[in-house]
Amino acid sequence: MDAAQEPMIAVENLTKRYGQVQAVDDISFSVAAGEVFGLLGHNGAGKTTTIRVLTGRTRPTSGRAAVAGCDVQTERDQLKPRINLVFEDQNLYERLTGHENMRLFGDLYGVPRERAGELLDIVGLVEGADRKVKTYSSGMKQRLLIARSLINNPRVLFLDEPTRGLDPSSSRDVRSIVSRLSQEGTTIFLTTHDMEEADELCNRVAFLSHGKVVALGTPRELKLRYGEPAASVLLDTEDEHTISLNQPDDARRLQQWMADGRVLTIHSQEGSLEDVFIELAGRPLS
Amino acid sequence: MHPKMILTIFRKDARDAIRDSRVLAAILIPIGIGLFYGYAFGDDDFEAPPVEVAYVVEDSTQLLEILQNVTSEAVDLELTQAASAAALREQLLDEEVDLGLIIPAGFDEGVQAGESPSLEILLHEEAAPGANYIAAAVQQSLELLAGRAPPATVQLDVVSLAEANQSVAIFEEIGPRQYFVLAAIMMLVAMNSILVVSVILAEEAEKKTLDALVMIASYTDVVVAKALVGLFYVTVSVVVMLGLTGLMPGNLLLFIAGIGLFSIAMVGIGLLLGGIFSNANQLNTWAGVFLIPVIAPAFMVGIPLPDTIETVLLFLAPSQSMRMAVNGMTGSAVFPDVWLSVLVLIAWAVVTYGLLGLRLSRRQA
Repeated sequence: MDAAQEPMIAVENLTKRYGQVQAVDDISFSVAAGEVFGLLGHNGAGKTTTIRVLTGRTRPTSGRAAVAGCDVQTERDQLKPRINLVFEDQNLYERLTGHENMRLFGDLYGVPRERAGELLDIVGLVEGADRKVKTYSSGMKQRLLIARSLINNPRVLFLDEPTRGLDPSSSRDVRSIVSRLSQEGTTIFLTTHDMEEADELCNRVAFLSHGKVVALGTPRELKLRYGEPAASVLLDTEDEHTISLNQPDDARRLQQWMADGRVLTIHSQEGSLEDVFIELAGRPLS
Repeated sequence: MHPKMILTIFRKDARDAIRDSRVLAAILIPIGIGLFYGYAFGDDDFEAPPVEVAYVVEDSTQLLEILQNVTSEAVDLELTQAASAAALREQLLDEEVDLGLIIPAGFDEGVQAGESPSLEILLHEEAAPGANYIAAAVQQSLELLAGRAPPATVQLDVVSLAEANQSVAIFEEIGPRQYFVLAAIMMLVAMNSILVVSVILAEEAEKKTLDALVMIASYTDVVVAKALVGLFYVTVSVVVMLGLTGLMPGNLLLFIAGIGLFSIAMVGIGLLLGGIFSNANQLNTWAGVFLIPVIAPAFMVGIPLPDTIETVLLFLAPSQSMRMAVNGMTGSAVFPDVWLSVLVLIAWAVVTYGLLGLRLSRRQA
């Protein structure tokens, strides 16, 4: 395999234990360059721990992981400039302005000063750049976090719950930025509770439960494999029914409605990622 | 360590911290207190304490005149000639005088010729505080007499063969104005080093901005930057305090050494506290508990105290720093054994940074 084909993230039998708690349990997967990879799971499933290990901030108990060509244990100094992270918490310096926040990290990464302004422009924060961050809305802070994470033009960008707590409009802005980054070739590793978001953004997703990867594939593959095919039927009484296409009773009910000429519309529905997760973990995500 | 990153984080901290009302208060309160004392106790309030010195001299000497000039600002020196060495000892035992000088024949000539003649100083075990100061000032006078050092072998005898009481009533030595301004400086160092540094470090962990910093820098870079911020604020605040009160250390090097070593040790304690507390407000609440044992020993220096407490003070960084600061401010050896003060302060710094290094290495791992 030549360098161009090497995965941007390679995880082999990774385990992380905190005392008696098995946070990550022998997981393996790889992420190709330019791919958007989603890691889904309940709170405490091991998502954030996996990110901590992959960003070199925690040493694994066993196993191996390489990100952007660097071993996360032995090549942490080389790894740092190649990656960045949008944290789950909005960890910004609130008494500094947006521009000062950007300049700080620009100076730490040793990038030209103009880069801060360019990124603020990309995320639409030029107007608020000279205001203190404590006056920002949650959506503005999230956009600033994303701008900060792009300051070093990372080869791999980790996003830990990037739309948590945002209103629909801000969430859409964030997703749009992530899509654009992906199109520009940045490898993205995303954790989220939002199944629609994962479905929209991710090329592949892995479901994590109790520290183990319980399913991995494209959203469509997983929905077909684990989701239940259904149809939404609108009757002449304007009653809408959702029927499972795998259940004989439901099929008979549909047949009867059609024979009676009562069906106004019928739309097929594939299973959602939420259904997949319920199937795999036995309870919903939220 | 990455010096450029340390400097970048230092600049950020210096700018960010000053916008935090808790930090601003910790910097301004001691300066305000120092200013209050600086103006509440004017120079006019200070009356030089009298010190009576008897001497025996077999021929003429300039030493006494020089000694009077050297000590004129600090004490009111009264010189009387004793009939003999025995009479002088008698006067000391009867507490008629505070200090005795036995100057041999040809002393001035011997000093100037570099022969190191012997000079005997007799000190009563319960001598007035200023007597210790005079004993210390003799050395300086001899240097002036000779134009170089060391010009003579000084023999210090304490009458009754008892240890000289080193306790100095500090108000009489340096006046309340200098004493309280110095005490406010010690408070300033403690608050900047312990409170400011710990709050900015704890806040960094609490708000999780530390996680963002260590995405590129190391924990050591972050901690060193915080230490520099503490030392920077101490330096600026002390200079402002001295400037506003108009006090100028007589021995600048000694003053800087005393304050500097103390600051370094206390910044280490501030960093340790910042690492232990995960919440800056919690730290702010408990700050008084940590500051009292740091500030109180500095205020106790020079006040006559039971021997046990005096002994304990010998091992504490604040009291030793205060001793050096008093010596540095007055430009004379009000407190002897400067080397002990330096040693104690260095020991505190070594222990503190040793513990800090241990914590950092665990965190890095």
